[in-house]
Amino acid sequence: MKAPIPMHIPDGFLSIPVAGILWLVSLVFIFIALKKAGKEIGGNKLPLVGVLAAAIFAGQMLNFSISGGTSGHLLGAALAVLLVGPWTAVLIMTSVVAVQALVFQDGGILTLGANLFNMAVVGMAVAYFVSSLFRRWFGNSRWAILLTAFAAGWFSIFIAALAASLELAFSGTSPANIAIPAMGGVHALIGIGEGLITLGAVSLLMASKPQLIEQDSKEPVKSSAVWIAGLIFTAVLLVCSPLASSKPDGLEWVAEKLGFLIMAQDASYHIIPDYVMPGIQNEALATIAAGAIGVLIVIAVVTLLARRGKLAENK
Amino acid sequence: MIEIEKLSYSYEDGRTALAALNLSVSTGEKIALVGPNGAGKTTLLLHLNGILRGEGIVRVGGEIINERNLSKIRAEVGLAFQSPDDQLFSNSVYEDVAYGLIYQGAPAGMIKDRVAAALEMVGMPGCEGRSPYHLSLGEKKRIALATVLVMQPRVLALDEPTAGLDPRGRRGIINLLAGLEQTLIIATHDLGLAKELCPRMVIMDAGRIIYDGSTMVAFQNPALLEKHGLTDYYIDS
Amino acid sequence: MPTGIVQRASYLRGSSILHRCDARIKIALLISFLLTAAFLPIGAWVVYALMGGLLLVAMLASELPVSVLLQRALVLEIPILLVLLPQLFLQKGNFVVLTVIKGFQISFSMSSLVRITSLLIRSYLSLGFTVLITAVTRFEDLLAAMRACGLPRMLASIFALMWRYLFVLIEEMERMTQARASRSAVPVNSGMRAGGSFGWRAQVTGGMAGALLLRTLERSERIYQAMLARGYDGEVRLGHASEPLTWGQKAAMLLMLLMGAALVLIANGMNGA
Repeated sequence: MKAPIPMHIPDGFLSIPVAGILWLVSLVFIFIALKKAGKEIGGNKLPLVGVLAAAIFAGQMLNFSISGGTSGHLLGAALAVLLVGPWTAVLIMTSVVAVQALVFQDGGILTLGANLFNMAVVGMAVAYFVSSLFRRWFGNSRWAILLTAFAAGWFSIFIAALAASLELAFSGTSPANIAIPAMGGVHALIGIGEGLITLGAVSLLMASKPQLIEQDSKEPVKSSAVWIAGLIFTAVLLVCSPLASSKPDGLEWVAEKLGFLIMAQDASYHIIPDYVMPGIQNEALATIAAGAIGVLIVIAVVTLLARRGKLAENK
Repeated sequence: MIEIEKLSYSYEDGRTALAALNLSVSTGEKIALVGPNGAGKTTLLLHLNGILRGEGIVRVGGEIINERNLSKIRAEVGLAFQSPDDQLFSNSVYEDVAYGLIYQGAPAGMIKDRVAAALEMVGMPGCEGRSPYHLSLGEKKRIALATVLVMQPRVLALDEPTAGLDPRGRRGIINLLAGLEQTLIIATHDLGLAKELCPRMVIMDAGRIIYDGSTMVAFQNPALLEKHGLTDYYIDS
Repeated sequence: MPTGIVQRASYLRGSSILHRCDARIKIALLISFLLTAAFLPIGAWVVYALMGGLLLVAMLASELPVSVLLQRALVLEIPILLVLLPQLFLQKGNFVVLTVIKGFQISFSMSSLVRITSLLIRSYLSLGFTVLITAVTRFEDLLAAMRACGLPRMLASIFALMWRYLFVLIEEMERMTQARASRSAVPVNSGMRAGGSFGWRAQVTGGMAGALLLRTLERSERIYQAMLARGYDGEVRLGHASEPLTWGQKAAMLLMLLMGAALVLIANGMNGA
């Protein structure tokens, strides 16, 4: 039996306030999505949304080996955004994540709000933000679309994982300096898989049904709210995470920040000397290193694709 | 070439798919595997290269299939699925046919030549650049066959190679198979194909082998065919 | 030949009192149990035991094999254990030094041991109860109950459609994966480095996802036509409408919530003492 993707937070992991607030936030977003997508999809696209949700669920079972027993999976938020637009994507991811929690117990019920927030709301907003930005920068050439697919996939996973680890930290479940490098590091790598799978799927769809991909760039989706939300999530999480990891206890950190306390060295908190528990420190370093390498690879791939894209356009 | 001893397999809900099967196939033999829907034909085929692993022994080329030689066995036994859609998932015919060779790490030049040769063999030369999505069912079936042939397996296990094809497409596949030298195991409802291609016939029903012998002898026993859901053909012809 | 995931789909057939109970009541029961477990303080052992007893009684009432249910919950507990365990060595507090073998010592803090054990028990209780409720309730009933509790119509329709095609698509997915596996082969003594590059493997997987989506789109068109042909009027039917809850049922739901709240209060009181 496969262990569930660590992105699904189980019950007992989040504090009640964190879980409650995120339930509320997710409900608000789903409510808006229902209103907005109602216009987008109408009656005749309802089967599409339902079956697409089933397909993304099934697609999540696709795995491919990365190395030594680790395997990459698809989340699908970016793919859904690229295929059917942001609001419909929220509904699709909501169905997938909810059924996973209700029927397969991937992720808890109380934490479902948080999981919906991470995978449906953040995943969607980030993917939409990144794809709009990239479309604006690189246009609509074949290379630009593929580049967009990759970047949307990577960022949606990475930022969603950061959100999850911040939630764990704020709940006091897992100190931020462990959760963020661990989740971030692993998902920086998993994100590359997600990016490449999204890219592969989009390139296949472009070859066989190009109108599917081009469609949503033709009709200008005026979803500035999503755009701004995506920007905010990306910025807040990217800035917050390193700061939070520099201070172990998320709640303490926030208290200090809010109270404008001087960041004093917390003497009572210490990692025990490594001769007692060998490997722990190195492990933390290793995950940070993995994260850094992941980021570097993504930057490299993105610049490479961008340059090839430019070349292709110049031809 | 292939020896199966007391092979049993049950679905997860407990239904029996294969019940203590014994089957032995020599090199170069051409066997038709027939029987009603749900008889266990596909399940049996999936055991030939270790996709499914039931209880009992499956030997390929004298070696018992196990976790370690799985990859080697799959190079020797090529499996073509009933629905070509299960096998075609790339941008172009070329990428789909080349998959097995790229996985093996073959050099680029060799891949190109062998893909071209495989496409030639299935009667679709020069279609490397086409998208599999836009092919007709008959063409897809040929390409799916090419994806397996390109790996040059010693045994070909085919699941319903002619199902859903128009008469001309069916004829094309039969002629193609007739020209192959490999050991062939064909699960099919197409008794005409069995008669034409396979001297030996294995009739399965409810996970058991009911008959294993000459195809011609089986055709002379209408009661046997009728009992295992193969009557319609018998009346028609 | 669906494997794995389908097996994990949790509904187990039965005709016990829990199976027959109204799905809305079961949802309320589940939510009160989860909330209670989540609100319990650290180290409230007596109340944990009480909740455990409750869980066990409910499991027995389901007439399902209790060991199967407990095992399912245990499997789900493993990732939680993996996340929590390292913290044993990282938290503040008084350290206890334990000599396991000569020359190899483990030190951990007592307070974090208490905390982690409490978290593990609490999550196991929650998981156990979720496993139980989803094992005795069909998804269709769960959905109808959620619809009755105010789940928007469109979302309910999407859930229903998704559920109907989920297993079909999972099977399709698995056949595709099998087809890929059967061509992922290495001949004897080829001397070549097999497996292909990371990027290529991911792209092939992407191609499979794309192929699945493409077939799904076509399928959704056929479904829509079939729905129209049968007089589709905008709502996917979710079975017969639920009857309104009786006062007794409503009272029972309230009672459950109150009981949970009482447990939380007692636990907090005991900890304070």
